[in-house]
Amino acid sequence: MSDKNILENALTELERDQLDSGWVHFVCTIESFPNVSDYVNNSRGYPNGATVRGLPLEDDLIVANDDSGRLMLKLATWRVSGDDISALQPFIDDGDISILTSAEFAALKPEETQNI
Amino acid sequence: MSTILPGFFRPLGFDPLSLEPVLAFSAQSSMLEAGGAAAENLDLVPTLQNLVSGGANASQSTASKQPRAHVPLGDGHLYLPGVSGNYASVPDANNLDGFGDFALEFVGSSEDWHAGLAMTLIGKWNSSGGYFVRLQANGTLFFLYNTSGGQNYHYSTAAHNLVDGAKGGIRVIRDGSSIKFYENLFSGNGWQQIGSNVSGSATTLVNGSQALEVGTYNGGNAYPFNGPVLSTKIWNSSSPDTASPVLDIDFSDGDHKASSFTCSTGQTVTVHRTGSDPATLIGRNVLRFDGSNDYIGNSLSSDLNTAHAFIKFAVNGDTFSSTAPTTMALYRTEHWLTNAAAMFIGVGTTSTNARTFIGATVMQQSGKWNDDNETIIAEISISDGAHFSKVNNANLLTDSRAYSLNSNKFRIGAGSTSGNASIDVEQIYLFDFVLSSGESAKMFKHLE
Repeated sequence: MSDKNILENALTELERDQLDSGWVHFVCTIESFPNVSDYVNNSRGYPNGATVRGLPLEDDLIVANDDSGRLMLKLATWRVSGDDISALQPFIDDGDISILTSAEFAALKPEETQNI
Repeated sequence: MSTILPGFFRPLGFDPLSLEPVLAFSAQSSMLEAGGAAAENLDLVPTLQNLVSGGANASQSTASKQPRAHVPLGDGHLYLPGVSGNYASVPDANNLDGFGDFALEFVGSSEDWHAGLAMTLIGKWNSSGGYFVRLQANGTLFFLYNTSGGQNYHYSTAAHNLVDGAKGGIRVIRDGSSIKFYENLFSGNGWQQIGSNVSGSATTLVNGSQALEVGTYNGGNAYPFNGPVLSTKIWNSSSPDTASPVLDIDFSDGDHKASSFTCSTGQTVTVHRTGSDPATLIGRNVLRFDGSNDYIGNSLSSDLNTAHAFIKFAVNGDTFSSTAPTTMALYRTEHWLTNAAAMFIGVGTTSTNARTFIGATVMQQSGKWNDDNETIIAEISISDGAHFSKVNNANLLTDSRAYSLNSNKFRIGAGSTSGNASIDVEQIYLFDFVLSSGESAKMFKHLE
């Protein structure tokens, strides 16, 4: 083992960002979102008692500011397992889902309106 | 002469429900999981049960927006979020390295002991050397240590069998030149060796100056642990079952949300915390909102024009992802721009000020929206041009402008679709009338 592994330089930029921020940042095409939502519901057994769905409805998500129409979703790292990423890999490979760093996500986020 | 009354004649403790609130939420008894049972530690909470009989529960039907329960394991634990900068440490001391034989022990729980990345258990290491033990993504254990002869590292010859979501323990023992890895599933079989002995170095470990860290190494920067930690022990002996430890941290010895405490072997344990889901000593039930997605709420059974509220909560972190993080809001429409009233609100992503407000910026409680303040009790009363707010029964602020509250909805953890707050909520009481000063004092004493 090299010192680089011990010092964590072996982590990817994305892994390092998730460890430092505590968030996983997704963008997803509108077309693929129903499949992603279905995956979450099926993998967690929703609807289940008081929980109707795993992810917000499409209309509740913010849209990226790059005219791509992609939906943006930020989840705490504890809500996302390695199995989830594996299950979503085909969508990632097809470009329907991208996992971004905090900075990349922030650059796509629409300007927030002050509501007081 | 004193008289001892039979039990049922003794005056009972004050019950806030006797004042007939419209909302009464307590993390001790209101947090329900999806099936309707009491939420356990780290469960999502879709329902916050109103303790008022027939009153409106708070609910959230989308899982990614549900807050999470934190419930003490046993007498308490240290929650670590798996995020850099969140860990516990004790200062360097001569008996925490420079070992001949030694044993390291970590007992905790994790929702995912087999996380996609490695997780550190114990470390006393920086770029100049030291030692640490961590779980690898493939389930083996990795142990590294520096001696005068150089750096040594070893993997267990088999994967651990710790069960996700359950209590588990790991021991690493150096006995002469043998490195031994053990696990304890706390299922009645005690400590069992993982794989077989690994051949290592018998040379004395170096004596470094770095702090000992729990849940990470290299100054809080390496493979942070995710989950509750119950205890951490170190022996300068290969016989942990008979020798006295040189470090014995039982995290239940720390007060709820304390930033430090003294463990039984005399060292000062410091809790390092950062971000919206920080490392926390959990000694009481709290409902944690993530500051980005979470909120829970409902409609009231009738319009509210006068209100008096007590909210016991703590702010997490120093930066906020929304411009106006809100602990609790009362409002009439789906958007709070019209006829809205937040009961307690932070201002801006960089400020640590806070304010209660009634449709405008009033009664600013300067400096109170700050994790340094730990748990606070916020009180706000709104009635017919005679409003006031207090924090911890002090900092009285008043406002006399005429406002109609005119609210029929409430939301906890956010104002509208934004305004999400990074907070731990313990108790909320909302009344549809203004309490007398005596009633208010009783409420504060009860929450305190």
